[in-house]
Amino acid sequence: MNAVDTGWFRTLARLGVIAAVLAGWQLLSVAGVLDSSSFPSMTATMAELGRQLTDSDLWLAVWETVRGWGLGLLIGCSLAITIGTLLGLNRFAYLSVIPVIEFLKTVPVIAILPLAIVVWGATLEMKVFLVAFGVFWPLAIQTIYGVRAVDPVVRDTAAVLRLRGFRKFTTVTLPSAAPFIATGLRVAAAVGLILTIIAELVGGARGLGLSILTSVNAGPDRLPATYAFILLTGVTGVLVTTAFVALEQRLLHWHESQRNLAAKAA
Amino acid sequence: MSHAVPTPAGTPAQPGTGEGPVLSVSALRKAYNVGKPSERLAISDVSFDVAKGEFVCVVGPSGAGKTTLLRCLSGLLHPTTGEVRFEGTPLQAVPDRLSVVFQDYSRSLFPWLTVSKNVAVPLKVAGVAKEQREARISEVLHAVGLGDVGKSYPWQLSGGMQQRVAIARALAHQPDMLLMDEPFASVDAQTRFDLEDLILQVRAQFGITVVLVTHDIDEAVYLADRVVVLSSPPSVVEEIVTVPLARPRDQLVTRSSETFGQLRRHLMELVTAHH
Repeated sequence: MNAVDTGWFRTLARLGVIAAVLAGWQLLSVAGVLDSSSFPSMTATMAELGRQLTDSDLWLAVWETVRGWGLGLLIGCSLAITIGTLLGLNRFAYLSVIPVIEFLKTVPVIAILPLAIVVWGATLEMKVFLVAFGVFWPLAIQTIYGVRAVDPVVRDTAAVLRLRGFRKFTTVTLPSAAPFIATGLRVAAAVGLILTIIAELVGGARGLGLSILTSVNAGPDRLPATYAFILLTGVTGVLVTTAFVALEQRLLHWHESQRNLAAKAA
Repeated sequence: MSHAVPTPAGTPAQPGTGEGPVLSVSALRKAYNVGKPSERLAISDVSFDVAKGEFVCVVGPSGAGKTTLLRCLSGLLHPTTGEVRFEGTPLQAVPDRLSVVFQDYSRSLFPWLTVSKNVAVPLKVAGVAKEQREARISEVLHAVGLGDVGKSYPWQLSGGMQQRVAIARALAHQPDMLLMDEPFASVDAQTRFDLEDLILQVRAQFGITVVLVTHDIDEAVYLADRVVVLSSPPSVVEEIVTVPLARPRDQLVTRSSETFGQLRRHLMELVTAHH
């Protein structure tokens, strides 16, 4: 096997790139290209990050963010998949409702943030609502199209095998829609995290977003902390995406898009 | 050749003798987009009967509405006028005792289910208990010449093996009749011969009635008791040709016989003639 293709080599290469970026950052700070009053050095940021990681306040903030995000995602995605499936199965319902959904999808979630703040204040409920609302529309549309996208040969096969009702739904409809739903979920997870941070940053609910805001308001001394929090939200995003990609690979191992990956992993 | 069993329809049974025909097509007509400017008549007037245990092939020039006819015979499509009776009952939907094998096995087999689970689907629909289901699955997989592939996914197998799985699935719940739509059109020539012999063997073993649609005249002559020749669209039955070739058939002996050559020539003239 080619050395470039081995897992070890790839991991090393990725770590190398990260190290180079961090070194470049430090170099630019030391050389004075980055103004230290608005952009702290890499070492100062990392030192602050290290300090924060031992602080229980930080972990509380992380927990608040993850909780709001997770609950919002759970509610929004459950509703989207259930309602999307029902609409996708019924042609009349689909044709009646789809223009409304397509319209509501285009409403920026930020536009309803003030409304949510008025109704719930800076609370977990506000955050959960915002995330659920934001992930619902795109995932519902994705589910509707997935349920309707059953291959004509698969549909004929289901008919000649006399698959009907719930058995047809679980044997044919759901697996056919699964790749669409999986893509929708992966996007929803990422969008949901962004909305969580926004709800905290703008709406003032507790979590990493609020920590960023508070550290900015505390003045230039606290700048390394701001950057540490921003880095941490980035890492959270990467972890969330990785988890969903892994889940997708596992559940859709039979799908054309995943078959080669499975063969490589074996 | 391993199928030395005499077939139930060694001599073509004529409808009306003994029990009635398994499949009876009368004055079938199928138009698409009825009442619209794009209205198109695919099948004008098709009638024929298929007796129990018989092997009937349907041939015709390309675009002759062969697949449309097969979809009407299976109950997937409703004819515009005319009637299809399966075991005496007019078709409303796909009947229980009928199975269909499609050309495109890669889409017809569910890629998210293993081979065993694919074959299990019609058994579950029929309400067969788990132990009997497993016995039946290994029985039909064995009958189509597949050994230990139950745990594989269909897409991990070769094309010929996948079509064998599709045939096994179609046979699983012991149907009376098998409808096949160009089943061997997507495999290479050698595999095609193997699958042709397989279907003859399976048909002899299970005493099943087969209607097979194909564009390949040699294949039709090799397999059939009778060949229904369709005209170009709007299709009518050009002629129904009886194939008096002895069974069991053999790829080398049968195909090189004089009768085979004459039938082949006659059918070729019918199919390529312009009307």
